[in-house]
Amino acid sequence: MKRFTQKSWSKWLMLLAFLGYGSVYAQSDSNGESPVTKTYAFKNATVIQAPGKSLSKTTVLVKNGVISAVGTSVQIPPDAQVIAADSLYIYAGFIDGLNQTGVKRPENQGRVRAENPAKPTYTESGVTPQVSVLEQVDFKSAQLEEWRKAGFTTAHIVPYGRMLPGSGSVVSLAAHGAVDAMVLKGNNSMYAQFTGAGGTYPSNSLGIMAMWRDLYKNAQLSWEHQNLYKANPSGIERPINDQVLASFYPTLNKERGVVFNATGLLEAKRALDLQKQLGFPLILGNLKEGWTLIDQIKASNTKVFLSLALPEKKEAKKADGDAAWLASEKEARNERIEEAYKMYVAQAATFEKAGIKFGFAGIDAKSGDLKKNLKVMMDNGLSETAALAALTTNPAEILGMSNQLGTVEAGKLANLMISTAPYFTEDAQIKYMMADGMLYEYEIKAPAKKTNGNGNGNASNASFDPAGTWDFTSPTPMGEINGKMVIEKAASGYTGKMTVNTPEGSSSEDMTLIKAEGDKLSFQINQSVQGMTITLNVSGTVSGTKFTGNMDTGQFGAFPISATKNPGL
Amino acid sequence: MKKIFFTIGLVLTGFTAMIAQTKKGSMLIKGGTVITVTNGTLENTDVLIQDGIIKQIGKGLSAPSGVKVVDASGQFVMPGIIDAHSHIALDAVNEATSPVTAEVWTGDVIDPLDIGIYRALAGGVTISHAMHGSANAIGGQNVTLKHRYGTMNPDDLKMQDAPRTIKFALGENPTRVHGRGNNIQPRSRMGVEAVIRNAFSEALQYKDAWAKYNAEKGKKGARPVPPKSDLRMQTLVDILDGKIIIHCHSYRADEIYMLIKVCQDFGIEKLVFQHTNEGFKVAPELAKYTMGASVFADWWAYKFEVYYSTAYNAAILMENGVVTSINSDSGELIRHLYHEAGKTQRYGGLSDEQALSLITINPAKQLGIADKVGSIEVGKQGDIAIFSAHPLSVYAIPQMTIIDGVTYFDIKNDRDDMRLAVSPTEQVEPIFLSEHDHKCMQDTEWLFGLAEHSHE
Repeated sequence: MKRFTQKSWSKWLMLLAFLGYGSVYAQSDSNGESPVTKTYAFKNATVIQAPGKSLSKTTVLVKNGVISAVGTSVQIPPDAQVIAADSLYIYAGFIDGLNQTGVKRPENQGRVRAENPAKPTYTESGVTPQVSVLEQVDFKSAQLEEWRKAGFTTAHIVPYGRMLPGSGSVVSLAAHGAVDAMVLKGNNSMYAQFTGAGGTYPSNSLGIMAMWRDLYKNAQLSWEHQNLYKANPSGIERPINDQVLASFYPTLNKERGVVFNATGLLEAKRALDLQKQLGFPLILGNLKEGWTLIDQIKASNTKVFLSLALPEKKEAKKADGDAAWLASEKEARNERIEEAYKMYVAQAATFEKAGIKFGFAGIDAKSGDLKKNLKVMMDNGLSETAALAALTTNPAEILGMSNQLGTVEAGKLANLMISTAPYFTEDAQIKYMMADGMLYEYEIKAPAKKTNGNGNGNASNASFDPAGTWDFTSPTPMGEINGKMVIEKAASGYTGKMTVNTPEGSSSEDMTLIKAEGDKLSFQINQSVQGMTITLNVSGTVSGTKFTGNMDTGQFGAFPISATKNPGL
Repeated sequence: MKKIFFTIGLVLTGFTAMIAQTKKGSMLIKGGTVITVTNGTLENTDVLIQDGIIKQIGKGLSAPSGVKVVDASGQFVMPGIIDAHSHIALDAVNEATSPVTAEVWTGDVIDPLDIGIYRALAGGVTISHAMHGSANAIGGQNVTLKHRYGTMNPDDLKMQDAPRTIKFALGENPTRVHGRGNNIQPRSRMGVEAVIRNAFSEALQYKDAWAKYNAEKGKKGARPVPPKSDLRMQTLVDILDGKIIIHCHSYRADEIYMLIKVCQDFGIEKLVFQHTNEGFKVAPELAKYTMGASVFADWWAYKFEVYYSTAYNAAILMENGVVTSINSDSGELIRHLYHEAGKTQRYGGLSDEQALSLITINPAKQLGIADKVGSIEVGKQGDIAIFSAHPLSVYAIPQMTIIDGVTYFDIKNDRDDMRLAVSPTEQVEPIFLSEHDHKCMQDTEWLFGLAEHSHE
């Protein structure tokens, strides 16, 4: 038997969540309560206004979610929160061309075999273009923060489903308290995949191609019928309001494009063939093997979001014990793998050389791999300007939102990525993100390897021993919490437990990722609260036996924490 | 010498996609024994191909400037082999979810990267009929492929001037998939006939509805509502209108005769039977009413309806005047169709020319392309297979395979690794431990579970 006991700690976090507490900077306004100010001035920054266009000692003024001024002599209003940005680099927030960030697969979407697989309903066939991705969005999803902290402020998101899952929307990745508030452009694309309906028609690409043609043709006829009736209903059979066919109308009229998730060469080719036959505006999304299709892509004015996911490079296995013939055969095979690998990682560079403006699709990628994968693409020929354009101006243009997104210009939405060094350099870290006018601050990690500047040879590692018992206290809007942190040295690194006393009661939590470097101490606590995982990131500085730092709860804000090492225990 | 296979670099720059038309080559094949199939065998004869077309056949021809010469002295030059029933170069074979799927087309799912294409070339095969599977009474439309291996573009493989064909299937496969698998019609051979008759009757109504609409539309002041479009029905209309050749998977004599009657009732004349294991029982009818039968040399007993079979089938059919071909239906048999054809000399005593016609001009007739390929004749496309010995000899080894005057296989330039696409991460591609080359029932496994081996 399972007995459910709500931990006091969880309760406390829940209450904290309801309060919608923000840190000094974070303005997560999940309750609709006004933040302290909606005006921010990033003073004296290096502003990369657009790919290849850099401004120095420039101030960016943001007001009510809009960039209101960018310049060297910007008047800073008295209500502005001023952020000294002398050593910071400001870019437009990144735009993800195709993803499912914050989208949850509906529970009823399992494999349902139709009663008669030969005559399925639209839904059984996976043909649901009338569905909106917004019906599947969870605005509390931790994925929003995951992608935001990688630099993204905006994403074109698409629903789960099969052949025609529904329409995609462009949303802000800021922690808005409601789905509606996230929407920048609702239902702006028709999402398509080569995913069959299992044992139901269409089960694979054969049926999907045929069904596309049938649906499109019938949408045209239905449009004709509707107009005939609208012009004068007298004597005309009443047209049936077919939601599926009606979803095609904006596509027939070229007002809304079709985004195909087409990773492979053959899938992409099939999408291009459908485009050629039917004439709809096409975006190839999540393309991974598109280099041989460049001419057809150009000729058809097809837009492209290349996949941000790259194949994992696997080092060829050494063949020491092999006979000579086998070794040479293996070597030849390895050479071909190497050649193939290069084509994949050079895809972006190949598209750049061909003069195609492309964006990126994060749908198959991990947010944490962004920089690593960009580096691989750049090592294989992608220019920095093209990489930045693919993250900002190009997707803005492809999504038809160039007047709102993509550059750091007055009048555009306040979507900024602010890093400690030029973004494409190795040491650059994201210090702030501003999404839709909301500010998020991130802890800067000290460079890991460098010997310390004093030249005393005391390299890396901590100048203190974190092992021991610490008494901590933290003032929160829910009242003060306090307790003990017990850190022990393990075979590698440290383990620890944190005992937390809140006004609601006490609990004990595991501390993970305990790191002590230089004078910095940091660790994490993961807490599951009613289906949501809340990660607390604690980090700060140790001086003697005193620790001062921040406890960051992500979307619920950050607050100070201090601790003293207890010598007696 | 021109490079036949595009290099990685060319692929990178999208070279293949730039070619609007497939390559056409020129060459003079000198001094071979030329087996024309339709006009006898000519010793020590030259064949001149220019811009993809056979221009001259004769002795002592000289190569126009710039045309390369292939020395075939001591070798045998025959028309490129044609396989009337294959599933290579497809990455889906069956849309098995409905008893009638006339709207689907294997031309949509061509996989130009399939190494099977090269293996077929290495057996002298220049053309294959890439068929939909046999799960449905009326299956999908097929595509006729020329084995122009080396391209990444599926369109380059299509034989653009071949007529449309469609797959039908009778007997155990459609009744098993739909009757037993999904509990819908057809559950029996009678059901299969009913499904086909109903489909054609419905198609006639569809044709009528559109004809009425189009007639009405032209009238002044008329405001007709367009009928629903249905590509399935439209395809059946095209069959009724004689625009599509039916290729029907069949085994038993009774059902072969049944379909002949159905087609007669609906005025359909373009009909070829595939497999046709009991064809020998209805040979005169096949000769009189159909475009022929495409059979196996000696392959049977893999399910109940295929027990009554004989290796004399092809010979009996041919001697009764049926246009007969021998096919592979297999990525393995396709490499040695000339051996399969040779079996008819042991079982039935066919002449060399008759035996070779089974894999050249006859399949060409069944695919509606006999005016373009299938024999070595002036004016036909330059599709040639060159063998080290007479192709019906067990010692014969294919030397070169030529399509449209372009060499796609040359035993002297046969690299170890001919794959066009390589996984960027996998050291060794997956190995299939079970027989993988009979794909007639591919994509239907979900109906039967993995235990049942769906052979054919």
